[in-house]
Amino acid sequence: MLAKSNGPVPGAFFILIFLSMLSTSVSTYAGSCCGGGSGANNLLSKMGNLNIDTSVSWENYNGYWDKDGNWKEDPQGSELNQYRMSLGSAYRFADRWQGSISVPYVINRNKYGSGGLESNTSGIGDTSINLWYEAFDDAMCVFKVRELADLRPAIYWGIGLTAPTGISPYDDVSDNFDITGRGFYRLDGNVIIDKTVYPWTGAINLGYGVHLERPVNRDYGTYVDPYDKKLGNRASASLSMGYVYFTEALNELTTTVGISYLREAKSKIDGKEDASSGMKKIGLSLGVSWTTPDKDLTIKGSWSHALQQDGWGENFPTTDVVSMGVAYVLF
Amino acid sequence: MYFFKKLLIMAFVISLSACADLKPSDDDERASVVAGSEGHLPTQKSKDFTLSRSDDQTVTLSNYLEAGNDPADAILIYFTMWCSTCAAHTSDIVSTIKPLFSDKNVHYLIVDYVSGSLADTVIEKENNISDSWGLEVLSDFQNLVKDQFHGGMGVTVVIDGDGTILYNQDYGNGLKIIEELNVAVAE
Repeated sequence: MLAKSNGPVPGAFFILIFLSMLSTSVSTYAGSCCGGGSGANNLLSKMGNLNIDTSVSWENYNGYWDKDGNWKEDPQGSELNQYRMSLGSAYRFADRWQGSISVPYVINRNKYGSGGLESNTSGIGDTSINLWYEAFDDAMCVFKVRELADLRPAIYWGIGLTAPTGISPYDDVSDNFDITGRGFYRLDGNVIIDKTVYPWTGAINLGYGVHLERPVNRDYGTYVDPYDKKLGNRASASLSMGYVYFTEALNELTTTVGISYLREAKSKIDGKEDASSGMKKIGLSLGVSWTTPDKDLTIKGSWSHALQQDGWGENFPTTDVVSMGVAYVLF
Repeated sequence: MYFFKKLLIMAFVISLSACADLKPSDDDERASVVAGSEGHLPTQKSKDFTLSRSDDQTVTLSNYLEAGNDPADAILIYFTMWCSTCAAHTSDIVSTIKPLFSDKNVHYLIVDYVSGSLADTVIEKENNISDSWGLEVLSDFQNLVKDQFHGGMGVTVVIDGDGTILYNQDYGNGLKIIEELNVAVAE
């Protein structure tokens, strides 16, 4: 499962951080939903029964915020890139219930420092599974607000499980840079509030995640004195606004801007706080999506950006992420 | 549609079956070593090493041991790759650990294993470490010491005055490091 080519692999820290971001990407395609389909999450519309959602993304790392929120450059000579392919699917169980699963495959291409350390590793990342309840029965998007009820948004309540299917620091890795996952189960509660009054659309996504404690008897491939570790709970929020343009053939072209916030509390080791852990990040995003009139095919692209300035994050790398994806729905 | 469902379930099951993290173990599986033998694990004696320091001096471990020219109560080695986690650990060493042992002779060696030369280590040191922190920044551009201790990002080694390794693993929350430093300085 793990393919490694060039010697020492100094990218694990960045992989770890990257994986920590997977479930908190900025909402980028709030449009084309009509009660289902806020593009940042793999959600089916009311009419959809099953979809396949694939995406590829490229993440470029450039600097980091320290614990005090000061932005700093990476060591000279660093060139850190990560590519990810994700395969996901959503399935409708009932009129108001749907579930989804997503499995990423992570490829690292990193050069770190001036000493020539390089990484070329790849492997499956952590798997996420979600269950969503839709607090509405019909499409909630409208072309004109005629009465108060037309302002009601589509609300989704969700629970999620992240399973540590990736290669973590506590797994059988030959060095500390082979990892593709965090190694912890996490339970999430999410709510999405999504509203479209054509041509405008918007979405708010709130989440809270709890990592489960686990025993650790190995760090980066070396067996150690066993201890219990628990990553900090995490809170996330994102807000996106978009504009939907209809072509003559009734294809939908949606452009979206968004802002996201993510904070993870400090970890605990044997019940005692790890003062060097925890993180915060504020990110900006721009997205474009194109959907067919039948809404069976959506092609989407996005760019997420972290400002390389003091105060926009803590204890976290700054990155740019460019993503392209295709989702196909079976009705 | 049935085919898609089956394919997805199969892919998921395959991905799960390959991962030990799904059922983590708390068994102590550390290799047993002969105390006092040369090696990199706790209870073993450290092999000697010499590295260049950012002030262009050289640091030799044996000089900091009981029989050396500048014997110390303990030596702490921290492997840095100048990342945010490393910065947080370094800050914790300065703000939490150092004050606890201010009346002891403890050497804090920050080993840079990602820079390709001493000159580059000096640049990184200037960008990340203040002179007032009392840390010795060493250049391990050949990765000799990293390989010797099986080091990597955040790995920390505590060595007592007679060269015995007391701790060699991730920095963690620093509490075990403090425990071992207390053992070292009490000897």
